[in-house]
Amino acid sequence: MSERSAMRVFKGYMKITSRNIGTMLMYFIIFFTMAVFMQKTYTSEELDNFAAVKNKVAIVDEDKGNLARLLKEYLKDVHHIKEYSHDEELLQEEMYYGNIEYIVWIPKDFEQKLISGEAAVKETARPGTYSGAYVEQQISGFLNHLRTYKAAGFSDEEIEKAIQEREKSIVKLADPNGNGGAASMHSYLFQFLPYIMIAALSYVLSFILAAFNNKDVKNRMRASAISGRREALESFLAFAVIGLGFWCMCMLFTAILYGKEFTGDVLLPYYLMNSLALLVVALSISFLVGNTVKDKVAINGVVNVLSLGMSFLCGAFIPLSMLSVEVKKVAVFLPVYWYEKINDLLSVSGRLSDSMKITIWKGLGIQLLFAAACLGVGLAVTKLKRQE
Amino acid sequence: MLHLLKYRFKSSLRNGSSMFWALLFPIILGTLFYFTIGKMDEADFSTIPVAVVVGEVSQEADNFQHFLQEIEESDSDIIQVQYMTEDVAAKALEEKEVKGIFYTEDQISLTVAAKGIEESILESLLNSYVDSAKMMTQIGQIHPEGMNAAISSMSNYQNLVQSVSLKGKTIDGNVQYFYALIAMACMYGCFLGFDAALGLQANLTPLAARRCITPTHKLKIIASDMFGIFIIHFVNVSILVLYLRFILGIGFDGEMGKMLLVSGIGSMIGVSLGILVGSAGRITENLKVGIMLGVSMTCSFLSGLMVGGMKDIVEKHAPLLNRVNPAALITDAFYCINVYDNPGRFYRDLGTLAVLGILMLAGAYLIVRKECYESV
Repeated sequence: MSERSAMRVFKGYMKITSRNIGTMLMYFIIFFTMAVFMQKTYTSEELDNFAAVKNKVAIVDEDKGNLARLLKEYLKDVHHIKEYSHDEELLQEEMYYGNIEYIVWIPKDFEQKLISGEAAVKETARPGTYSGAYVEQQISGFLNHLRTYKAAGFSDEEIEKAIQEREKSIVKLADPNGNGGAASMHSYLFQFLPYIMIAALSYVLSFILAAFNNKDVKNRMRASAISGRREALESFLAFAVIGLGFWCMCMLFTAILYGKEFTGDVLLPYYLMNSLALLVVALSISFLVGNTVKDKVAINGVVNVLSLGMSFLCGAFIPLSMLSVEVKKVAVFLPVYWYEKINDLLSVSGRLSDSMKITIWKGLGIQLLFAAACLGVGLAVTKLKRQE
Repeated sequence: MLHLLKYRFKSSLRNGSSMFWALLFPIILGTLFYFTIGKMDEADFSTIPVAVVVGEVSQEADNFQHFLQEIEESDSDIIQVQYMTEDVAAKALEEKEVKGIFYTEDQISLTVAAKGIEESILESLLNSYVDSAKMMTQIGQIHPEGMNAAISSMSNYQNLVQSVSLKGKTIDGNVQYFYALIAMACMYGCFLGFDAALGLQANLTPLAARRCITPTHKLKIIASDMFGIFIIHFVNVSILVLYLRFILGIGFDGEMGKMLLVSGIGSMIGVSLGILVGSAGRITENLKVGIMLGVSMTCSFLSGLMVGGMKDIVEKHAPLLNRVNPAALITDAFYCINVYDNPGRFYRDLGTLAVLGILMLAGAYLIVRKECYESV
C-alpha cells in the first residue's frame, strides 16, 4: 500500500469530523457555560445548607414587643431572616420563587397567647418538607423555653440575659475531604459531563457513521482494495481519536477553570477513570445510533432524547440525592446513573475506604458492560444489514 | 382557500423534524421534568442513623441518653440510635453508615462528617437538650421559687406554632418549570413557521418559486399558510398543556380556557417568529435556524426553563425585559391564572402578548408580501 492511500477510512472520518467541528464546539461552549452557571447557583445554595442548615425565613412582626424581639434575635442566629410588612401578594411571590422558604407571622397579642399556651405564632411553610418541620421545631422549642422562663417568674430583662448566657453545643466536623464537608467545585462540572459528552459525541459520530452507511458509499467501499477488517480497525481508531480528543478538551477546560484544586485532587485518577468509562459509553451509544438510525433528522431527535433523558433521570442535571426513589429504580439500569453515583462519592470524600472502592469498581464495570452491550447490538445490526 | 389550507396541513404534518421539535420534544421534556423536578420534594429523608459512644459515667451522660431514648421512642422517627465503641463509630461515620456520633461524657459533644440537613437536625437536637439543661440551672439559681411552675410548664410542652397558608393556590415553585416549558413549546412554533417561510420566498426554494408564479393571489397563499400553521401549532401546544394537566397531573388549577388562550397567543408569536426569521435577508438556512434556536432558548431561559426563579431575578434587575420577553409574559400569565389571582396583571400580560403577536405577524406579512424578483 502506498503512502498516499494509507489510512483512507481514518482520514475520511477526520474529514467529516472537521466539517462538523463547529457543531461540536457549539455544544462544548453552550454546555460548559451552562455547567459553570449552574455550578455557581448550586454551590451558593449548598453553602447556605451548611454548618447547621440555614433557611431563608421571612418575619412579619405585628407585635413588636420584647419577647417578639427575642424570638427574632434567636431566629437571626440560626437562619437567614428578612423582615416584611404584611403584604401577602409579595410574600406569596417570594415564596413561589424560593426567595424565602418559611414565613413567621407574629400577631399583635403574641405575648398573651404565649403565656396562656395558645398558638402564639403562625407559620407558612412548604407542606411536607423537612426544612419546614426543622424551623417549626426550633421555633416551638424556643417559645416553650420562653414560656417556661415566664412561668418561673423571670422578667423580660432576666429572660434576655438568660438567653444570652446559653452556650453553643459542641459539634465537631470530621473533615474527610478538606473542604469543610462540601463537595469540590470541579465535581459539579463532572456532574454535567454526561450530557455534553453523549450529546456532542453521539451527534457528530452518528452523522459520520450514517454517511458511511449510505448504500452507495458502502458498495463503493466494498469494491475497494481495503479489507473489511482494516476498515473496521481504522473506524475504531477514528472513534478513539475523536473521543479522546474531546475528552482531553473537557479535562483541559476543567483544569483551566479550577486549576490546582482539580489537578491536585488526590482522587484525580478516579475522576479521570470515571470520565473515561463514560467516554466509552458515549462512543458505544454513538456507534449504536449511527448504525441503526439512518435519517439525519431522526438522528438529531434520538440523540437529543437519549442525552437529555439519561441526564435528567440519572442525576446529571438534578443531583442524585434529590431524585425520588422511583426514578432511581429506573435509573439503575442506565450507565449514567453509575457514573453519577461514583461522582457523588468522589465529590465528598477525601480518601476512599475499601467499601467505597468496591462501589467505584462496580460502577465502572457496569458502565463498561453497558458499553459492551451497545457495541454488541450495533455490531449485530451491521452484520444483519450486510446480509441484506 | 380550503384547498391551500389542506395542503398546508398535509405538508407541515409530514415534516417530521419540525413536528418533532414543536410537539414531541416538549412532551418528552415535560415527562422528564415530571419524573425529576416534579417529584423532587418527594425525595424523602429517612430516619437519621446516629451512633452513641458512652464515655465516663456521669449524671449528664445519663440524662442525655435518657433524652435520646425519649426522642427515639417518640412518633417522629427522627433518629435511630446505635451504641458503639469509639473505633467502630468512627469507622461507621467514615463509611457514612451513621450521620453523626454523640459522645456522652460529662460534656456531650457531636461529631459529624458533613454539613447537610441531617447533620443540622442532630445539632439542633443537641442544642435543644443543652438549652433546656441550662435553663433549669438558671431557674434554680435566679428564681428557685419558680422551679415547680417551670417543671410543670416543661412537661406540658405545647405546640405554639399554627400553620396557615397564603391566599395563593400553591407555593410550589417547581410548577414554574412546566410554565416555562409551555412557553418554550410556544416559541418552538418557529420551526413550523420557518418551513412555511421556505415555501413562500421565491429566492429560497424551488417550491416557493413555483408557488410565486401561480395566479393565486399572494395574500391568499400567505394567509392560508400562516393560518394553517398557527392552527397546527395551537393544537400542538394544547396537546402539551392537556397532557401535563390531565396525564401527568401537574397542578394547573386555574381556568383551562384562559390557559389555552395564553397558549394560543403564544403559539402565534412562535409561528410568526419563524416566518419573520425565515423570510428575512439573505443569510444561510443554518444560521437562521441558529438565530431561532438562540432567540427561543434565551427567552425560555430567562423565563425559568433551566434555572428556577430566573424570571424573578430578571424582575429584580431588569424588569423591562420581563415586560417584553414573550416567554416570561406567558409564564407570568400562567402564574396569575394558577397561583395568585391578579386580574390586572393577567390582562396586562395578555395585552402585551397580543400586541407582540400582532407586531410580529404584521412584520412577517410585510416581508413576504410584495417581494419582486427580476427573474423567476
